[in-house]
Amino acid sequence: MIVGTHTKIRFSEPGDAGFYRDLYLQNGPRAALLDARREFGLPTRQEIRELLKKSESARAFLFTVEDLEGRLRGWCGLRALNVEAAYCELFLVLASEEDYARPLADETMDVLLHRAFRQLGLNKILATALDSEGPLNACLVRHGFRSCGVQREVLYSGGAWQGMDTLVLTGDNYSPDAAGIGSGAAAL
Amino acid sequence: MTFTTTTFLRRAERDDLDMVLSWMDDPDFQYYLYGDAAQSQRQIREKIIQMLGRSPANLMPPALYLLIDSGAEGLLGMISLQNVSWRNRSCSLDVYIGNKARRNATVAMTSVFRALEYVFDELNLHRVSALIYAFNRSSWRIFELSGAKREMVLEKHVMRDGTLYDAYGYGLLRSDFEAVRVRYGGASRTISLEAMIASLAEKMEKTP
Repeated sequence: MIVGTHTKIRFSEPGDAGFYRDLYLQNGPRAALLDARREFGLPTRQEIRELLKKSESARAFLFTVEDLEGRLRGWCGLRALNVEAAYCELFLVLASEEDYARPLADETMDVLLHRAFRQLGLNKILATALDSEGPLNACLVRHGFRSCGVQREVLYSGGAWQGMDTLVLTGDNYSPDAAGIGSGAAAL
Repeated sequence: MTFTTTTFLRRAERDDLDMVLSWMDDPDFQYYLYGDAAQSQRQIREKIIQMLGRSPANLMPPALYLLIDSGAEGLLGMISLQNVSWRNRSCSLDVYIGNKARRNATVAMTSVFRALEYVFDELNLHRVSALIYAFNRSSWRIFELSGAKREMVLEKHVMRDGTLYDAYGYGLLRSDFEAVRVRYGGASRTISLEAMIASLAEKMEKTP
């Protein structure tokens, strides 16, 4: 477990399945929870639990975010690793939208970016955010991500179309202090 | 070669198998489409054959694989519509012209337009996406001429022969495609696929 000033970050466990399932049900669609068709799945707790049990190796890249009191606050990780081109996708889903502007999100980002760039030695990290995920987008930009472009009208939800922004952070532009919160993951 | 509008899309028959397999043995097939070097030719072949065989015409599958048939002159290639979302009315499109002798702007454009007509006019989809490598210029030019917008640039995204290349994310909405149809179809006295393709192929050859 990585203990920071505001968060505790640990590998996902099958017991987190209920919390993850609830993330699918709260606050509308999130880019990170859409499937390859950009459809919004509604997995059951059992399905998520089975997935976490089955993919032991994948769990090394999936994390649960807790606050210091042990309350579950979010789910994050690195996935879609491309070894040849040395990149992967980062995702961060917090239960409360307000948390994206808080140190909890910054510390989580620090951990993920440190793992991606310093431990895995990747060249770049991609992340996605729907039009409706402004707070997530702002959090990514705060950490040095820049937009690669918006895919128009990819998701139909709530009677309207939504676009999806894909953002990138390259190793060259990675700075642990990008969000101005101190020494970042290395200090956690 | 004269260009023909008898080109049509259809499901694969057992008799098509030899031709499709011969395309898959071509290194271009892996280079341009299925680029994971970890996949053997056999794995790619088995995957494609399995996919070709399971595209029922009367269901709503998540992917459709169709052959491009020019009639008298035989098979041209294949298209795949993947990640079909019936909720978002979207899909991603891959086009492969397997017949190298016919690999030119007009044939490719005819095939892409037939595919797009099928997507918008028959399947009633709203959006088509394509991720095209930057070095595959002829493909992204054709997609642009069909009205698609380059929505996303993914720098250093794909490795080929030890070099990292960019990839472009294209998006084509139904309204984009309609605008092209009106614009280029209207250039002729009759709004026709022939007029539109001839006009676009001419434009493509003039702007290398």
